[in-house]
Amino acid sequence: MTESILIVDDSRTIRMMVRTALEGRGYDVLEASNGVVALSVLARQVPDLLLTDVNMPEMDGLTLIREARAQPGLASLPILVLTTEFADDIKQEGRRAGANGWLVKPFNPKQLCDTVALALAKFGSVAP
Amino acid sequence: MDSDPIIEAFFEEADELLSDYEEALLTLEGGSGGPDVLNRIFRSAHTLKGNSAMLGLEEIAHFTHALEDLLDGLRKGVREVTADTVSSLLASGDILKGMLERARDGQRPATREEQAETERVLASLKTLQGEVAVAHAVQAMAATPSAQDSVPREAPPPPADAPAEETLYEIAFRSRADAGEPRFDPAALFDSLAALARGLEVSTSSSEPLAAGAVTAQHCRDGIRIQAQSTAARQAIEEVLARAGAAEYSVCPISAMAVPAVSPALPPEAPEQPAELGDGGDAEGAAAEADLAAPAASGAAGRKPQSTSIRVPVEKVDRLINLVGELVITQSMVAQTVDSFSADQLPRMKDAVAQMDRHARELRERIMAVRMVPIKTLFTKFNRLVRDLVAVTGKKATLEVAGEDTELDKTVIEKIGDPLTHLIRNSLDHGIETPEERVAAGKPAAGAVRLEAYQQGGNICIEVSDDGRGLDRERIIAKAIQSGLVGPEQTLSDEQANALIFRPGFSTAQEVTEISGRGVGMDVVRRNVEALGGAISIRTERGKGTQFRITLPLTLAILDGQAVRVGGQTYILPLVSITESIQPLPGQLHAPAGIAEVILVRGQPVPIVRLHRLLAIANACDDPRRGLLVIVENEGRLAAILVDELLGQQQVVIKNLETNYRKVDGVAGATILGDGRVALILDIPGLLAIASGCALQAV
Repeated sequence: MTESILIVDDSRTIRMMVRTALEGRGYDVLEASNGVVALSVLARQVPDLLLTDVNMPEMDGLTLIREARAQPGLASLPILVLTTEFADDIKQEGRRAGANGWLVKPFNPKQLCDTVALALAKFGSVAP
Repeated sequence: MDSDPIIEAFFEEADELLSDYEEALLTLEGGSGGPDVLNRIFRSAHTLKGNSAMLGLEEIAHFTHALEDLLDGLRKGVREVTADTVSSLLASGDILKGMLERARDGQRPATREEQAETERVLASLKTLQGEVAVAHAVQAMAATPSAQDSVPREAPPPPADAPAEETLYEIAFRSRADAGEPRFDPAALFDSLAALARGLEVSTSSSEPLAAGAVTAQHCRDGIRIQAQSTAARQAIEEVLARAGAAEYSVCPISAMAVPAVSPALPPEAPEQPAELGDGGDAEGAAAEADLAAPAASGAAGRKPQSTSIRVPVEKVDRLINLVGELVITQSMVAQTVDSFSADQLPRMKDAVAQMDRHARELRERIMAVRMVPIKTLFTKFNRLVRDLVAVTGKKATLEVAGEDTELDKTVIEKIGDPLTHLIRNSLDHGIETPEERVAAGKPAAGAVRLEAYQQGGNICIEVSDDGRGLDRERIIAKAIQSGLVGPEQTLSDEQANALIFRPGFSTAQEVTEISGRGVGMDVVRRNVEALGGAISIRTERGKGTQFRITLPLTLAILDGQAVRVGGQTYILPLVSITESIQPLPGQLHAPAGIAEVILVRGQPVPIVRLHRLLAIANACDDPRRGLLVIVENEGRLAAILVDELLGQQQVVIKNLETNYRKVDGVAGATILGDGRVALILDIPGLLAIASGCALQAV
């Protein structure tokens, strides 16, 4: 079964890069431009992994994580936070909100794919 | 050559981010902004930083980083936003625009002036940042120790009880090359790394994957890259590298994940799973990396000054798909009727063809709508222009904007920016008076420049108006006589006098100013508008103000045309230029001695242009009384074009003549008529310029 990844970022450029890299590795990619849109995507389809930016309009990434974690179906969804390397406090906050890990911007496609593969191996559901 | 869609998306988004950044700053300055606006400004800079870093555009990433530091302080409310702050932030936006432009130009290096300006703005950001930091410290000190909430949040050191994280590190390592050193043993390095980390992936400095066992001392002297997962802190890994005899090393955390299961559903054995990363995936990863690492190269090759993509709302696309579906249905209806056709089915056939016709027309309109974008993006830029002009001139003025949701063809929007900029500059420079003059004239001290767009039939009108002093008829005429544009004995209507300001080299400004320059403007404005198939007109009232109205076609691809017959030929005249068509009465025609023939239209002499003579067409009507005169307007002047007959008005699809043949004076393009014949679309200004040698000199 193809694994699906939801990328939540208000930047089209980032979403496009993530999509290009992950589709190249055979993942299905879903997109959302902010937390509110992400929640509506999640209501229809639960991906295998969620990647989210932090600073976004409408609803930021940390609120999204808290909202998602409060929903029974999403308690175990692997979530990674996209963050800038200078934002150590964001990493901590992300952890407290319920993120499983983080990925530092800028990243290259290989680093992204490796991280996603690692996260799926560690936290992904083991269903076939 | 195709350029990378990601890079194109980057530049397009960067332009949007910067224009949003600027707009938000102006809102902030206008005093109508709250914390939301500061957040918006911060987010624009932040996103631009992230995106440029992803594409390896270091210059932009560094600059936005400095900017972001300051903005972060501002949005946390530690310092008031002053006019100075806004000016510095606006200047930063300009610097970024320059940097983006250079990146688009294939990483053109900055000129010395650009570099100096960047340094200057960076220094002003640093100064402001310093003030923010001081304010920050003062605020922190003022807070009572018990009121922990008000103490600004500091990045806490990782708490000791924080759950362990496994981090994916990117390690760069180069061993010392000195001959005196004990021989470097790669195996020892990997042993000590393996004690700390797992999932080791090694590659050479040129990104060739290597098995850990195959790494030689030479590889290490040339430099190797290692990707590894470890729960150890960065310093612990750095120590291992230093001990192993590194000449140079760096350890960068890429990503990290909690080791103990945050997720309750995690199967207990999962953390133990060897997280060997996809074998054979490296080449692919490297390829993808190479793609992204080459923005400069492809940017240089595919140098595109304007963005070439359009974002289309899903509804527009859905409607198109729907329509194509209906078209397919009617098409099959027609096909069916044709298959088993008999005379009694003719009404049915007519119905089906009529329906298909309707759908085809609607499809054409809708597909054109895909190119239509709101003029808002352009209009918002002028807030900044007016702000800067007010600062330079010492005048007071506000910009009012209306109709910003009016949609225009994307190409038209890109090309109308310069003429509008010029008109607005002109309004502020020449139109709006100084606050003292205004008050003396009983007007409010602050002038108003108004920018409005609206649709009128098949055209879009854009008006730039001001409540300034209006055009000075006497001064314009005096100036025109002085520069030999008109003779001293000529009497000019108001329209003709106003139209003089569009003549090349014309300027009435008493002194040349920095803003509007030396009168090389209004003629360029007119030319640019006409190049878009549009027209510009002026309405002005002494002491009350001036209004420029630009009329533009909805799209550049389709033209509302009037088909006319001249001899055996059919020509298309742009409908936008035609004011009326008349069959002259004998008393209306005059041929004053030595001057070209004219027709009196409501008392005003209008020169007659015989199209068949200009275009050398045989067997055409030469007598205005037997043919028809089409009155066209150009630069506020009228001309009467003699044709044999009017054929009908229709929308024509413009085909470029230049790309298929060559440029022909007086011809704007060609089109294919319903019966398959080609008709030339006439270019009125060009045509009249040719005719002016003989016919228009009189005016």
